Amino acid sequence: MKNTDSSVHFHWRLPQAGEEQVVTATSQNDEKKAAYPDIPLQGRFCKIAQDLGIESVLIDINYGKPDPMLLPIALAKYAPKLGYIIAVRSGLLSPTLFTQQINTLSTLIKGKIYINIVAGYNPAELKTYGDFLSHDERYHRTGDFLNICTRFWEKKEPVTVNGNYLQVEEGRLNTPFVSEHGDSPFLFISGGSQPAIDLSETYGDCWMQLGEPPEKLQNKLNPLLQKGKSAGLRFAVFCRETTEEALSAAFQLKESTMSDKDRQSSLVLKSDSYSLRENQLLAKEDWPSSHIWTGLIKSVGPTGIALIGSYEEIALKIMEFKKAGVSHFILSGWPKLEEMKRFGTHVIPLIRKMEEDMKSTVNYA
Amino acid sequence: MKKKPLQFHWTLSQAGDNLRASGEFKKLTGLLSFQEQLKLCKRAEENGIDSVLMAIGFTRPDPLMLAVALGLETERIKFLVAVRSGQITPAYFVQQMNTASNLIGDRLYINIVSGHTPSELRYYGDFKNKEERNERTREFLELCHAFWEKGQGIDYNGNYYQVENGAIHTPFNSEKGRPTIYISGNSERAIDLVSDYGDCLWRFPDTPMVLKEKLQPLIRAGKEAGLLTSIIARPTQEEAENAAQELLKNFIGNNQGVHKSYEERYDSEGFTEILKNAFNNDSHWLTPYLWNGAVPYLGAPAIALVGSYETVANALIEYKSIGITQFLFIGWPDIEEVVHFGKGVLPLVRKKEVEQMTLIS
Repeated sequence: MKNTDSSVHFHWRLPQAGEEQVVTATSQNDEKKAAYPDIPLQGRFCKIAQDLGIESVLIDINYGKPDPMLLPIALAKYAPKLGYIIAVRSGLLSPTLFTQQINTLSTLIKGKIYINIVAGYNPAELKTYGDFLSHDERYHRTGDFLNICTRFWEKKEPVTVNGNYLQVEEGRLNTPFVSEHGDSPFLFISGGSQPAIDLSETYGDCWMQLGEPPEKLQNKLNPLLQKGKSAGLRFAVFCRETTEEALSAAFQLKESTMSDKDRQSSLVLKSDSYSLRENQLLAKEDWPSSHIWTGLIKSVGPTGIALIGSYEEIALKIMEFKKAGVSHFILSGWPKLEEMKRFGTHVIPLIRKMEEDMKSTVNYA
Repeated sequence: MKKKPLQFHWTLSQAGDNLRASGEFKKLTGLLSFQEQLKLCKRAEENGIDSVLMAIGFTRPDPLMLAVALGLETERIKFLVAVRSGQITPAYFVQQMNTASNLIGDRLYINIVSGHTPSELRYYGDFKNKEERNERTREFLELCHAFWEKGQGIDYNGNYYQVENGAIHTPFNSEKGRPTIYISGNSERAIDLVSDYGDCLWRFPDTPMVLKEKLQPLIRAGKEAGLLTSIIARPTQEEAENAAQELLKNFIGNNQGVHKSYEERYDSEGFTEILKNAFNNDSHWLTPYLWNGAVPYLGAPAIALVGSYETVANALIEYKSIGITQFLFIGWPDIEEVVHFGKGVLPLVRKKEVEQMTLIS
């Protein structure tokens, strides 16, 4: 599971309860429903993901949702071969207990376990959990956290770490990480800033950031790739039979999110309240690279940055990213299930074929 | 309180590795057989046991994760999940508990432990002394209650925890909106903690005379008291005493090294007192049914109720008469002992309880 496989890895964000059939992005945070796990529904989603060749599902963390650590125990009954990406922040629990929980999970589901460690981007939300550190302090604490966790996974017990933020003395854990996919979970480090890159180089397997144009990436990624780490991007996807259909779906979503006044500042609302056609025109100025659209960011947030195009165009775009050094994608779409089905049914096979073709070209050369 | 039928729990902490408490602490396996644990859960479920104790520590899997996995495979048995205040923030703990209750239903209790082995607590980054741990546990419970009662808008500025506008949206899945809270400890501090924040105390057994006095403040506060004790019950007294001797045969050649260093290892009064008694007294019978003969080999929790079904049932009723309402049992081998209890002792207890009720009315 570590960085050895040359094919691109696809992960999908697990919908929270109440989201799956929702067409718009704005209604996705139906708070009442999202607070409860809906295992039959989420389990079915996981099973479909597994069957489509999606490698794992991302389970987010925040105060409005169930704890991501526990859900895989129930979800693995539906999709035992699927991987589960568990989001965590360093201020929530002792790294020793966290490692113990991850190891216990590994013995229970015997599957692929990924960790997505986020330093946290919303100070107000972090305070709700009792975390009052600043941005840079949080990264340092995350470094201490990962230092302790990785020592346990590398079996360097007893573990003694005397960090500025976290300390353990002579630490031991007798429940090992057990998986046929390796001796430790796969570690995504999420964040756009330099400290996230540094942490990825030191402790991570993959640096994960919000989608960016491929043109910008190559130089940024080279040092990381040379150290044997991989790079990943988080994107929304609109893939359809034709470019026009994909665009139309994206603009429709933008239109529907415009009407949700609560999620936007009055300023954004004013400047964005155009008709579908006007949206289209505005959005066309919002293409930082071909098939990458930023038009949804204002209404659905930073993860609204989207790949848009026909199946073929999306596949080619992903190959372009691959050449720039990106090998992991965490994707999402609207409606959740339909978009994943389209992507899995139409785009993944195209990419696998392109990867094969590339391999044979290399071999002949 | 006396009218309430006694409530019984069983420890799952040695399922599939029955004599682990006699092994060298650091080398105990943390990879226990899920099937053996599931078997004991089901056996307990069939034998009148309300919940199984999920212990915590570096030699074990995480108790909450395991509880959820076992809960998905069983119907009724509940899980008494241990937690220590220094290892997780109250908000995230509540989020995990609440999530778990939505996965397996209203089948979770919590067991607050302050930790008895400072060196082990440091594995987890907890360097506080006993007084500080106790203070921190108070704050932990105060905050957990706030999250369970209000769910949002929580502000807290304690010495150990601070929260600003705290919220957890996933509720605990039960009528009362929070799990029943057990607190383990043998000191007065533990009694104060239960009085202020808990529902029931767990402590080691003593003679009913001694316990009666110690528990009075707790019972006056309207809280419950439970005993954590081992049990060896057989059809006759002789069989029970033989079973106790059989248990000791496992330790022939054992120089009691594992538990002899108790004074260095523990900073818990309850553990130390029981071990001291067991190591320093010639008689291993504290009362006609309370035996500490296995304590030198298996540690303080091995203090045991030993006797015929009738004797043990009478002992339980005697404890009930001084205010004990719950028992948490350990047995060797657990999978057999739970049946001795369920089929032998429990029917007698229920019969005696009915007789008492009739007498009262």
